[in-house]
Amino acid sequence: MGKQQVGTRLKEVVYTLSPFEQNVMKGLFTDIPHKVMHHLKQNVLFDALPFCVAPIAAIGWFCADYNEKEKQHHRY
Amino acid sequence: MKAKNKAFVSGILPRLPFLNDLISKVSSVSNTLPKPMEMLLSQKGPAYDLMSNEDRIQMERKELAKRFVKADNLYDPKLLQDREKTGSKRLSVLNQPGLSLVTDHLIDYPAPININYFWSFGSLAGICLGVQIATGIFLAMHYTPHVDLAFLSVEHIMRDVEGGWLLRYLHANGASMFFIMVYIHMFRGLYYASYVSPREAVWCLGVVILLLMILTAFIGYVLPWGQMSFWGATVITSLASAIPVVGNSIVTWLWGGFSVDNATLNRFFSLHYLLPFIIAGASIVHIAALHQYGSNNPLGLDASVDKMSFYPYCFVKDLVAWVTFGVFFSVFVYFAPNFLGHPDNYIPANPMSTPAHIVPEWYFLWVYAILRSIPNKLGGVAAIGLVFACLLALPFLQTSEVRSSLFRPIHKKLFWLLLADCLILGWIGMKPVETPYVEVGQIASVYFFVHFLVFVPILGRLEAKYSRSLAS
Repeated sequence: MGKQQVGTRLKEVVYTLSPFEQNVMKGLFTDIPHKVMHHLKQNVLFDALPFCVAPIAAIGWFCADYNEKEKQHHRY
Repeated sequence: MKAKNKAFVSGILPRLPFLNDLISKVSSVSNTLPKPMEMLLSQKGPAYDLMSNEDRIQMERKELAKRFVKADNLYDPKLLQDREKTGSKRLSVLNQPGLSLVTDHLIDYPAPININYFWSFGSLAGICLGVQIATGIFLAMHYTPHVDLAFLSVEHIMRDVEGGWLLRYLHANGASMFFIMVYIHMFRGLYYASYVSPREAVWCLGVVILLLMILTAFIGYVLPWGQMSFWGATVITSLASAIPVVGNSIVTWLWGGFSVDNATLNRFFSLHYLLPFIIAGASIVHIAALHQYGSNNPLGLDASVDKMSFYPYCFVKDLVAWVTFGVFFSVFVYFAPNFLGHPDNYIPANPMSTPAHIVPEWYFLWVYAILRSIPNKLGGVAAIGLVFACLLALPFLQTSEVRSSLFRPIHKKLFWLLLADCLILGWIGMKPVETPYVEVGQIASVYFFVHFLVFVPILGRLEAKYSRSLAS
């Protein structure tokens, strides 16, 4: 897929379902706690937290700690 | 008009029994009823009300398909003949030559049905550009591009001009909002790999727009002629002197003299007025390139089916995003208008006094950190060039068979690491040039290039190898 060209130019909307058949809101409000937890686990807990928030926090903590040690070192 | 006639004939006539009877009598007697009308009546006659739901749905589907076959058919000779037969010479207003462009790209544009709110950030960036141009034109009516008057004219706008404070805060914070929207728009593209074939041109045009935005924002920040304006201009324009042989001549040419002075301010004002219109033109080309193959979607699958028309579905969704953005923007404009600015820019420019820390606006900090991480002027300039070269080359470095990060667990983690890296670079950019910030900035800069030049190409090959081993 990555390098293949799309052969046809899109010129019109093609519905496989008529708007009368599309139940777009169906099941939206069922089992919300499970959906929220799944979303949080998949995106926040296993990805954003360890791979984005944690590195930023670790580097912030490292720099603050380094500056504090430098300050202590030059104190006396 | 043909569609309207059809809708009238097929929709209303069958529901008016006396007209229906009249038409059937006329057609039975003379058999001269125009063909399209006959055809439609045979499809959607009085029996329509007695049809089953399934049959009606089938008919509605056909009607919908007809509705979206538009401007291309307008000059079809057969259609012209039909129009002559029906006696109608008028076209629908939205099918007029100028407005058909609006119909094609803003009303009937086929959008994927599964796009999420991250797809609203493109239109939000467009709104930001509109706000910047509108407020900028009004600010230019009161601003004076002269070194002795520029700072005072800004104060005049703030204090004496009716609503001038609002115009200025909208313009100053609008620049930040524009960059926030564009950065989110870019990271969405990176997450869902919207840049891969066949949308390479869309991505590359986007990078060009980003470059133009950076240039426009930089020269715009010089205009208030505060301390940070003056010294920022001095530092950044001096970077050109790193270019061998012609560097110093370029700097003199940019300044219009031998220092940042009145000539520099004048030309920056002129260019700051011109560039947004070039950005607007480039944005139109960006959208035209996008609409050639259609938008990407969270699944990353190319599909010419299951599309919905932009209006009303995406329009309403975008409207929610626009209102939310309006609230976010207003919080900054009304409650924290100087939160994103630098206090030193409220001090008039003084060439005899250098500020302790010269920092650019927040949205340039990540690039500034990369520039500073290399202890060589030419090396720093080359590194910035490499940043944009990497972004431009990204569609061609991508080797994965799959687009969306939803199906690429390792790419998803690398995406979050890249985001962390850019945020760390931004943080380092505003810190003084000293240990440990220098070392952290250098590591973060190296990681930035490793992501694009090593991880992106290698990961695709590894994924392909792994999927082949699973299949065998």
